[in-house]
Amino acid sequence: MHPDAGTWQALLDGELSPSVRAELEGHLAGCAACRESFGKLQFARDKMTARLGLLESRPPHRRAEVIRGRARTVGRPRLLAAGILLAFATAAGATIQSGVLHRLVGDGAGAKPTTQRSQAATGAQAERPSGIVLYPSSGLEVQFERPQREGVIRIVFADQPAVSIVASSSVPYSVERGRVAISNQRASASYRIMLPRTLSPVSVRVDRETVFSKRGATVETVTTAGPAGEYVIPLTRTGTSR
Amino acid sequence: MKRSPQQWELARPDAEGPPGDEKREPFEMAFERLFEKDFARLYRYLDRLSGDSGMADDLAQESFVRLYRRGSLPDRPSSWLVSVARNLLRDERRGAARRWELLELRGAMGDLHPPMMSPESDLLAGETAAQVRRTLAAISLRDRQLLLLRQEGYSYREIAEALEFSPASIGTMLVRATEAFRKAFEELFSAP
Repeated sequence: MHPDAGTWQALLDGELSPSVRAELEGHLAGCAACRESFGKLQFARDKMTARLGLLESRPPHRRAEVIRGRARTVGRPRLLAAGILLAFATAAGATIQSGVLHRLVGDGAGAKPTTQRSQAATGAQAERPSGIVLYPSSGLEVQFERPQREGVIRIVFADQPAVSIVASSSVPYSVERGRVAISNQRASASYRIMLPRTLSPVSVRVDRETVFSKRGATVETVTTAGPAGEYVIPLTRTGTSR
Repeated sequence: MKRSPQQWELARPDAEGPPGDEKREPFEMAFERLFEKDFARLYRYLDRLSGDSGMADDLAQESFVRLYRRGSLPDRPSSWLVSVARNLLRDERRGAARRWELLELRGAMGDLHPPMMSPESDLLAGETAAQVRRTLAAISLRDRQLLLLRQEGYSYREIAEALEFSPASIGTMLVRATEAFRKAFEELFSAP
């Protein structure tokens, strides 16, 4: 009677208790068939380890305090974001899927995201409600790096202190000193930006063209406000996609 | 002396538990220690699994952000982190299948980095990272995850918990995964 391959593998990987290990090593010493099996497994494991070692992977230097800061910064707005996005999904989600600019909502291992999928959402990338929420103290600039082949920016005003930005699919972005830069060069997403009525100045640029600006109560944009006070700006208007 | 794997006691100390000696260790300190211990290997696991280093960085960070927001360490924080990262990766895959195409693409285009020199060089006889990537892409996701987690030194218990298998089955599954990799490699790269 011989231990099976899984047991020998566990022995190789140092996963067995000392007493079991001693027992198995005793068996190995007296069993040529098992020594052969064990030798083959050892060779296969060593080769596997060496092969995977070829996949160079250099972790970037990250510090725990940065992670902590990020967790604290987005922790409370996150709850607000969920509320805002729920409202989006309910009230205005007919043309925008709840989406992700970055994963800021959702918790824990195996936790199911609370997806609010619009009945009228189209496309295959509806994801859980998420987005970013900012509290700019004075002014905001939103910069889309490129025009897109499709997609629109919808801008609405609300009586709240927070700016929220939601995309219909995952798009990388960065935030720095009142400026949100959205790396949309390969994206076909639509975006919804909710602005506090009191926030000024605000500018939204696509590529290098300003498509929306607000200074005081004066709004200048390339389009006109719809009946619901929503500005719909095509992301395609600034030229050909690159 | 035939024993089923279930009869063998897994005894490698669960390298885990909350890092530090006691669960009473302040959360901030425990988090810091866990971050130092696990960020790099979680990143490498995700990088090799997805073939996308930027996403690996993003998802590894996000996993730790969620752990921090949790406010306490789970029983096996390393497994918990892998589990969260897997869920994030799965969500990412749903939204962007191209991430997985990258793995193939990088393999097809050849290696961006020269093969790392190692004592095992002879064992590999000129194999390249590009071949390994292509082979990984050819085997099942389960096998890929098993092999990559073991490569990063996760214990059987940690792997089992993260992937939701029985700890006693991990050894057998690793044997099969290794064999699946070997066969796929031969099919892809052996001369006819």
